[in-house]
Amino acid sequence: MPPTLVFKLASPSGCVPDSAGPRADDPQAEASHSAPVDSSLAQAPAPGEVELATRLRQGEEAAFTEIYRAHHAPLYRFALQMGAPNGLAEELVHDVFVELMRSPQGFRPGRGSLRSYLFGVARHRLVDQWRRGRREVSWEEPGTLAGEPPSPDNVSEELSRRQELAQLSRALAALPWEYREVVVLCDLQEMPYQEAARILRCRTGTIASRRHRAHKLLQERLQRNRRGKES
Amino acid sequence: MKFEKRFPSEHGEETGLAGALSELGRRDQRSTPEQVHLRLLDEFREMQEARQGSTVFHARRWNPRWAGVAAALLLCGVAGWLLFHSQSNTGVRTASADGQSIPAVQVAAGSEHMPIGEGHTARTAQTAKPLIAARPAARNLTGHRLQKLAKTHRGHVTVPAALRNSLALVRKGWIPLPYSNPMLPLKDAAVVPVQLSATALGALGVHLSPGMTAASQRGAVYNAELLIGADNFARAIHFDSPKSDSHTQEQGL
Repeated sequence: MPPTLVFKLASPSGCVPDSAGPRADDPQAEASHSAPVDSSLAQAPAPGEVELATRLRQGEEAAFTEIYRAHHAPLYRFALQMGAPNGLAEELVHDVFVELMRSPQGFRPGRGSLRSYLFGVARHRLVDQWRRGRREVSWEEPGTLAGEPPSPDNVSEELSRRQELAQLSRALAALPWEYREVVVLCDLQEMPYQEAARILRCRTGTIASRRHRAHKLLQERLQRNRRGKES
Repeated sequence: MKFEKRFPSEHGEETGLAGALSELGRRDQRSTPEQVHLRLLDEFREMQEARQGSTVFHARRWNPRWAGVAAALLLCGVAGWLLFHSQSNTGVRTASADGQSIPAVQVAAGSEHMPIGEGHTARTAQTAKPLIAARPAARNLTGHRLQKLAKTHRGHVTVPAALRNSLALVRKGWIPLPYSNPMLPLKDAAVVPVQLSATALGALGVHLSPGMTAASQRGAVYNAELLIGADNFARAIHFDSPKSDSHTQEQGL
């Protein structure tokens, strides 16, 4: 049974009219509230996505399964990494695909990739959950950090590495919402800035600055943790 | 490159952190349970079946906006019909059914046996105050029919105020006059004795029997009492007995 920490989600910027408003320490956050999405952000869909979407509109089950297989795991992990518990993450994945099957015309290939569309829907749902009052969700530590099973030679090295990663994930969980989502999308999900900007509906520059600030915050927290342990 | 030159120490830390973060992402292999996929597939099939079964319905799906417009039009129509209907029932009548002016009798209260003739004090509808016509059902009822109706429906229906007033008059021997306002309370009414010719009675809406009509042709006048309502218009009539012209002349009127 992994230890469970409870933390408060910060207001998701750019979508929830929080009473606190944009953060004072983030001058670009205010701009991102009303910033329209760049038309240049429209990323070309991956080859075959247009065809998949057409087949899905025609009601082909195989197309739906193919899309599900390709995207369900990243979406699930995204929800978990954003702080949703397991049940909520499953519900979120389910809702995203129900939305896709109900209105497949919602995905417009000319406006971006299928992945950015699905992540956009997922993020919207997460924000909805946040609005409904689930501001406190339990963060389950990623106890299933997979990887190669450690060989007898580097067991201790692997264990310390895992401890470091667990610390990092805890520090990530403590980040404010707007920074965490950027880190999750750009670093954990390894998305380009343009795609992340399309999902979060803000400018590419905002993504870059938020990511930089988030990294700084993470470093500070990790250093504080190290100092605390040493002392 | 530029960033590295400007912040060499930070750059190293940032690169290490970015590497750690991407490693964290790569190591995270959590995945959606299979039952989510199965549930979604079930829903997908159900949805497809529903779509195939109702292709026509989906093609001609109701647009909520048009449904709202239709509902608003319907409401307007119903409201207009009700308004028209209520006006036709209780609205101001300026002429009788046969196109003649409505006879209205205004009698100065307190005067005794004031003879009222055609065109004497009767006012036409154009000069009279607007009269609120009685409900058609109550207007056409004779005293006998009113009593019968009251007996039949006693305790079963709620009698409207107009009909209730008319019934009270009938019970006391009065004949309600048409074109009067039956809604006015009876307590404000005044009784005025008058002498009326057959023509004046006809103007009040009281039609005489053939025998009485023949007598009236000889110039007979009738002693009666008029019940004057709060609006100074005659509401009901009560006959005493017919008197001849000579009798009237004998009385010096």
